[in-house]
Amino acid sequence: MSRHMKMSRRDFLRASAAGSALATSSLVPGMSRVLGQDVSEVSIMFWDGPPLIGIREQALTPFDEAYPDCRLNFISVPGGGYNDKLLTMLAANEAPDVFIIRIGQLPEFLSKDLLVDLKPFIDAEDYDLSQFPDLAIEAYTHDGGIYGVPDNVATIALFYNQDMFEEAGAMLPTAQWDDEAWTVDDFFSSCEKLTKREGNRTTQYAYDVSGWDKIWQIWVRIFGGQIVDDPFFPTECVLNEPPAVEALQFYSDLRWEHGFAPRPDAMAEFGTDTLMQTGRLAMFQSGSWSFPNYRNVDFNVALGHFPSGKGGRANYVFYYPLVVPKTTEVPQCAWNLLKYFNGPAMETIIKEGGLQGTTFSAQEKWFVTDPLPPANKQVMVDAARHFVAPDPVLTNWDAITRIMQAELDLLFIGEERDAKVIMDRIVEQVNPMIVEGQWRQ
Amino acid sequence: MNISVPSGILSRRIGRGFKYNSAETRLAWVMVSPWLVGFLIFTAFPMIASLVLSFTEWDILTPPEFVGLENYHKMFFVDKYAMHSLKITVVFSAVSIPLNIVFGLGIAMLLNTNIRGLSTFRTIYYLPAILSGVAVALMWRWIFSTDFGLINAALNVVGIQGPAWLADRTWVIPSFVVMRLWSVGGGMVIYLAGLQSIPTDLYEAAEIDGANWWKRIRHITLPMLSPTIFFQLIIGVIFSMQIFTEAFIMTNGGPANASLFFILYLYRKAFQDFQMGYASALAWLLFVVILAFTLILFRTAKYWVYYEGETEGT
Repeated sequence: MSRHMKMSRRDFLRASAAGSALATSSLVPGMSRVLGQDVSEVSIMFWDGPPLIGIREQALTPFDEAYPDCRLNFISVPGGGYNDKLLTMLAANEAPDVFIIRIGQLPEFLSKDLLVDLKPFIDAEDYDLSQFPDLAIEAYTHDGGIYGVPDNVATIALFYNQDMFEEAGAMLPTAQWDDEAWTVDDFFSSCEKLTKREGNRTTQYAYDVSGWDKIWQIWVRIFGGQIVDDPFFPTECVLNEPPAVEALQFYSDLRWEHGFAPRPDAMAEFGTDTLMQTGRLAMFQSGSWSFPNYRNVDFNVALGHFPSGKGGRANYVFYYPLVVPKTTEVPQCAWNLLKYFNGPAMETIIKEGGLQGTTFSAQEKWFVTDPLPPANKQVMVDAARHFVAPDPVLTNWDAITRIMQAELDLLFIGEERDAKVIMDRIVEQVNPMIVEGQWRQ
Repeated sequence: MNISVPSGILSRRIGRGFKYNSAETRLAWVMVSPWLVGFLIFTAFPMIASLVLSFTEWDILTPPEFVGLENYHKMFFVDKYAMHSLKITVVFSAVSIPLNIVFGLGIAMLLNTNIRGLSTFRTIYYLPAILSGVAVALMWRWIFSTDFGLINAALNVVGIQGPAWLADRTWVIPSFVVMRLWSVGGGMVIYLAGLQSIPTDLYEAAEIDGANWWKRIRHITLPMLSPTIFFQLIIGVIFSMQIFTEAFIMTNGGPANASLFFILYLYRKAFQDFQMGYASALAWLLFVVILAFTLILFRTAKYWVYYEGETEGT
């Protein structure tokens, strides 16, 4: 017998067709279910770049073993391409079974009835939602249903150079949320002591007056102001009311009137980290993603709360949700994946990925106990527990924010100095948009 | 050498027109089909689709809804940022294109001489044209740095305190103009090719007639180069009106929307606000504006573009 089996042209074509069909089937979502009989493929899509994306994938890899009926398909689209890819997949009815969205996108998805209600799964297993900030869950809730769980509950804290504070004799930012001290006046007094000048030149700045919308929103709330009248059912912008105007005037004046903060272009060019690391800035605000930049600095760096004012103490909490689209064919596996993400995977995500984490218990167990600098990580967990105001629930909140930001830029870059004038302009432009963005009674 | 075609063959071919059953014609269609299919699928269909979508409200997530001319009404009469972004894009183009032509042509003329290291200079000037837009944008962000940037450092040497180029509404557009000048090398190569195709005997004749440098430029170089300049002008309009990467990377439209170029605004509407219908309408507005500028330039061409061999009245 010949060692080589002869194949007719017809056989060759048949074999090729069968091979092509097999290869194609592996590329078609859902086909694996047909072939694999009782194993359902569940896909999850994130937007992170390396190294976090690899850590997320590593953390979720044991999911297949924990749930043998489900098989994970991990999709990563880092950077700006994520939104485009997600929209294209949604338009083609090929959306991943679980994916992350910005909180500003959630109302749009809910208004179009695109997401799976997770409440039946939560109720069936008596899943403990008290481990997440109440306001986050309330923001994911619509018409009695719950349409997401957090991807990460992250807060912002004041990072400060403790050595500089002690050298200047300035009051340290408090690490206790309910501390009666560390008021706006204390903050101002510390800024005065921390700012150093040589002639006309400032050699050391106290604070970074960031144009970041989350930060000016925190200051508005510290002074007792609000962005809109009711975040869950907004009808009008209230940024031109006295507390908000006072807050933004105070915040802007820290730079332009008092010279406590570097100019915005310097901040944009070098970033706060460079100024902090080179000893030219005493205090700025950021989240846990900045920790790696302060692991090996030659000064003591710690975290503190924002000061308290007429509106009490405030912070901003990121609570971007992981959601499940109605197009999923594997809702049970998607729910299992969400549970796994917020359960066993969270240890790796916090310890190696540096995220603050989702559940309070995981944050206390792994985030707070991380011995590396900066000190006082409890500050961020406390801030998450005291989540004071969610983003307004509007379908066009992102677009509204851009309008606000463009006007506020004028205040922060010093081109205009009167906060009231700017706030009036914002309200005039934004109020009609708020009406457009309302989507529920 | 002249190649003569027997007149009988020529007239026979022309008289028959396309013969689809001939092997030669079929081969021609086969050869051209990849481009044709690509054009239909990736250019013609998306263009028609976007035209149709421009009359709809479409958020991608749900089916498009026909809204007639509402998107067009909105961009002209309601949405002040659409006209604002178009205005600054036109202003940028109006300043940037002539400067790019002048600088590109100037450098090409300098490099059209017999100097030592000519090819090295040409390579140096051309290099920026082949660099990635993102990398260039990041580099220029540093160059425009207020306190530590190269430009302000140079100004400091002569006692001038430079502005906050990218953080000042007055200076942000001029900054983009300056940055675009850096990549004139692409145009320079084309001008060089044009310059080298000008017959030297024209210059020799002019010299014999006593024409000085400026007269030679004005009466020989510029007319002979006018088709090249015209080409660069058209390309410049199309290229400048579509500025995006630099603004997206360097300023993201700021400060206070001062660098919110039209394509950046369109991108926001499409991919951040899910307003695909409106974004399509914006795209068609830009198409019409570019087409209008191009047609105007073509109409003016007869007054200043000279084609070799052309005689008056032809």
